[in-house]
Parts: sequence; C-alpha cells; structure tokens
Amino acid sequence: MIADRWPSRTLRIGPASFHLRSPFRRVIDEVNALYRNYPAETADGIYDYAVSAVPSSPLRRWVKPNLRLECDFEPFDTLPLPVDLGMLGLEMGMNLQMAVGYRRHVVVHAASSANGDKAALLIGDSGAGKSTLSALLAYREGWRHLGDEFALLDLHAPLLHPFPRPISLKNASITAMEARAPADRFGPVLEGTVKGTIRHLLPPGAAIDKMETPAEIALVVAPHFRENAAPAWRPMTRTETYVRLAASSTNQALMGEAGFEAVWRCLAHAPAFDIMYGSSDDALELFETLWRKVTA
Amino acid sequence: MTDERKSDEMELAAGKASRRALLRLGAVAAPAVVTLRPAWATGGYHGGGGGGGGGATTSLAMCQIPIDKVCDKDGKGYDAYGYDMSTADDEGMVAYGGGGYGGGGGSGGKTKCYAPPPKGYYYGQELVDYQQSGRLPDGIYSTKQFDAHLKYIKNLKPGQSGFTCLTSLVHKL
Amino acid sequence: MRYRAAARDAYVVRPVDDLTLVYHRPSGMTHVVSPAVVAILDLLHERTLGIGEVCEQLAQHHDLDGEGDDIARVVGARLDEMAAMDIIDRIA
Repeated sequence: MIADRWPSRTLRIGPASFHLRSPFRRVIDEVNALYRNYPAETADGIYDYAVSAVPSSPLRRWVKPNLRLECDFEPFDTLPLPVDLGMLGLEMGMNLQMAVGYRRHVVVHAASSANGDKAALLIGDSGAGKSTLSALLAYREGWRHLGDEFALLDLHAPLLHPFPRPISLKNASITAMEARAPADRFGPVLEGTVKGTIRHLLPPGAAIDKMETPAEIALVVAPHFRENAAPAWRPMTRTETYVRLAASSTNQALMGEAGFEAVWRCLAHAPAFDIMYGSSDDALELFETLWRKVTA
Repeated sequence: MTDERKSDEMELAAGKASRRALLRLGAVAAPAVVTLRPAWATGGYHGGGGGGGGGATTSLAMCQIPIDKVCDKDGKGYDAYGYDMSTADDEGMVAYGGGGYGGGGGSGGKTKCYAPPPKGYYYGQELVDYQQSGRLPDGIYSTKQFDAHLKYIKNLKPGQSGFTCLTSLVHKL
Repeated sequence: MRYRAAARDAYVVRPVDDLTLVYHRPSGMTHVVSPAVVAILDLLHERTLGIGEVCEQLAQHHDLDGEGDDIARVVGARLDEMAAMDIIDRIA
C-alpha cells in the first residue's frame, strides 16, 4: 500500500484536529473503536497535525511488527512500540503535538472539570492524583469533564477550553473507575506499557458533545493522594500558584506577553488550594466542599 | 543622648508612624530572583544568586534558608490566610473535618525547642536530597530536630529570610 | 560598575502576595522577584547608576535592612543578580 492509501482517521479533540494514519489496519480499527464518538471531520477539511504510526523498518511491517511515530513534531530517542500498542503510540504522538506544537492557547499539564459555566483546574506532578480525581468528577453528577492531560488557557479571558480526549487510567485507578462508570465506556486493557497497565475511559457523551464550550476558571486545586491520609487542605499563595502553573505549562514561556497575561489572569481570577486525601470518597467530598466555598 | 535622638523618641512615643517603610534587601547569597526558563516539553527552573563571584548565576539549589532556634507547637500561630496553624501537622496541612474548615482540637502539646542546624541555614539542595532519599542533612542527627526545622520552613512567611528560596523549590518539595 | 534598566514600558510589573512578577518584554522572560528588586528596578529605568547611588536613593524612601551585612554589598549582590538574569544591563 502506498502511504496516501493507508488506513487513516481524522479526529477532532477540542480546538485541535489530527490526521492519524498507519499501514497497520488494526491500529486504525482500534482508533475508530475508541474514538467512535469524536468528530471525524474538520469544517474545511484541513487538519492541524499529522501523526503516523509506521513500521520501524521494512521487515517490521510483517515480522514481529512494531512501529515508530512520524509526526509534524517528532519524538526522538524512543524505542519502537509493538503493534498491539499502536493506538497508544498514536496517542503519544497527539500528546506531543499538543505539548510542543500548539500555540493557540496556553497549554498546561493539568486536568480540568466544569460545573455549570465555571471550571476547576487540577494541577500537579504525574502520579499525584489529578487524573484520577478528574475521572471521578467526569462521572459525578453536575460536572462536565474538560480534560485529564491538557488544560488550555484562553489568551484573552479567564477561560478554560476543553480537550476531552479519552481519559487515560493507570493501574489502581482503573479498578476505582470500573466501579463507577458504565462498562461500554471503557477501551481495551493494555498491559505491559512503561507505565504499567492502561485502560481508556471515554468521558460521558455530553463532555464530547460540548467539546467546543469553554468555562470560566474559578478554582485551582493541587490534589495529592496518599494511602491512609486524613483529608486535609491548605491555601496556596499566588506566588506558589504562579510557580506551579508556569512550571506545568509547556508553552507559556514561549508565548510572550500573551502567555504571561493568560497565567496572570488565572491567578487573579481563581483561588488555589493544595489538598490531600486517602480515598476517592474523601477526595470528592473535600473537593466539592472547596468548590461550594469558592463559588458561593 | 543627642537632641535629635530625644525628639525621635518623642515622636515614637506620640505614636506617630515612621514615614519610611522598611525594605528588606535579603542576604548576599540568597537569590531574590527566580526565573522559569522554557525547556524541552515542560518548564524548567533556574534561579540567580549573588555568590562570591559577583554576578555569577549560581545553581538554584544553593540558595539558603536560615534557621534559628525552633520551638515546636509554641502557642498559636496563624499563617498568611488567618488559618490556625497550631493544629497543623508536620506537612503544614490543616485537618479537615467536623464543624467546618480548619477543624480539629488543639493538642495541648508541650513546647520543646530545638537547636538550629550547625551552619545556621540549609541549602535548598539539602532539602531536595532529603525529599528524594530520606537522608538527613550533614550535621543533623535527630529526626525530631529536623522535623521541627521542616515545619518551620514550610510555614515561612513572606518577608522572612529564605522565603524566596523556599518558593523557588516549592515544586520539588 | 553601573547599572541601567530599559524604559518603564518594557516591563509589566505585577505584585502577588509578598513577591512580584516582572515580565520583561524584550526577552519574553518572567521573573519572580522580591520587594528589594522591585524598588531597585524602579530607580533604574533609563538611568545609569552605580551601587552607591542606588543605595543612597533607596535610603531616601526606605529604612534598609541588609540582615546584618554591609548594605552596599547586599545591594551589589541584588544588582548583579538582576544583570545576570537580564532584567537590567551592566554598564562599565
């Protein structure tokens, strides 16, 4: 098959659009299954980023097939992935395009969730707890999932734009969510990845349908899960909030004054709290109590 | 006592506030500027420091947090937001529960004082090392002493020496 | 050694709590700085001053606390730091 006849899929997530391609039909089939509810077209037929999963060598097209990524913004120093993790590879590729190539908004490695027309931003290091909390909120009455990996700050107003890709659950958080979300919203179990076991959870249909509706930022939270911890919280100073936001942004420092003002607006508009908890129920209760307090 | 000094004291006695505000210049070796520089994929930290070379940009982690004698659970202390920190645990976290925010009874613990670290301050790097390895800094042999120091550090107020250093390390601590 | 800052409008200065964010337009960099740095920067917009002059002018409006160290030494440290981070220029 020549490249322009490879199986492919155009995909829109929030304000960004991707064209995914691979000669490995099963990879695109898996993409189509997982992203079945996501728009498959762009308004004018033009997409933002091309991401392809190609055989790592001609032999690898057929023998112990594995693949590497070719994209507009390309990863380096990565090992080939086995073809059964091809869909993860394409997701990595999309993440990379957003982290490195996207400039329409300030990109923060953060989760976010909206309640009505206001939103909360969940920041923190990988593994601290923000993805799990955002998954819990995704299926919580009253909340609309905006994203688990990237939060997009508007450049002119204190708004968060959704990037509601399928939520990437890892290890223990998979079991936690299997008890709280319908079985048909889950993707396949993917084992043996560098992060352990991964399973995707589609956010509710409403989150995907409203992927172009931003929300006004009202609260910043840095969540931490710690085994057996009693629920606790402390306010973060604006200085600390600034430092953590800027350090979590892949492009704020590259976007000049517009980037500076976007983060500033976030600081000025929303109080910030560091929270700690030892269970999902405590996390939700603590978070929602804080939410009511700041939006009262 | 000179006449000038007498009239200054009379002014103070009359309760007149000084017309000049205090400006804390900081310490020579402690950074007063933290700059987040763009780095591949995620943000990176770099801080400037005076250092002996005058103008040389020293490593962020060489910034200093001075510590004097620390007395633990020494009566009520309120942080910048007015939260009662005397019930805070070693993390500086205020317990959540029962009757609203900042709940939890006072423990009525005894006051105990701990000596400062031998050199009178910590380098930021020593705190980072502790966080990563659990190893106490050089010259510190008592976990309780170090815990008291950490609690002091985490409750540093704006304007106190070392606050800028702490802020710049906040992502690592 | 003397120091000089760009015009006032080359900076966006936003106090937050105890510290201040300074966005330097020519470089696109954002710095988190202490009140001493804000006060020193304020004196240097399109003016070239030596350490002694900066100390004198600061002292006109502030009581200076160098934490026991010699004031000129500490102010010199602040100026060098600001120059190292390209917030101001060093002029021989």
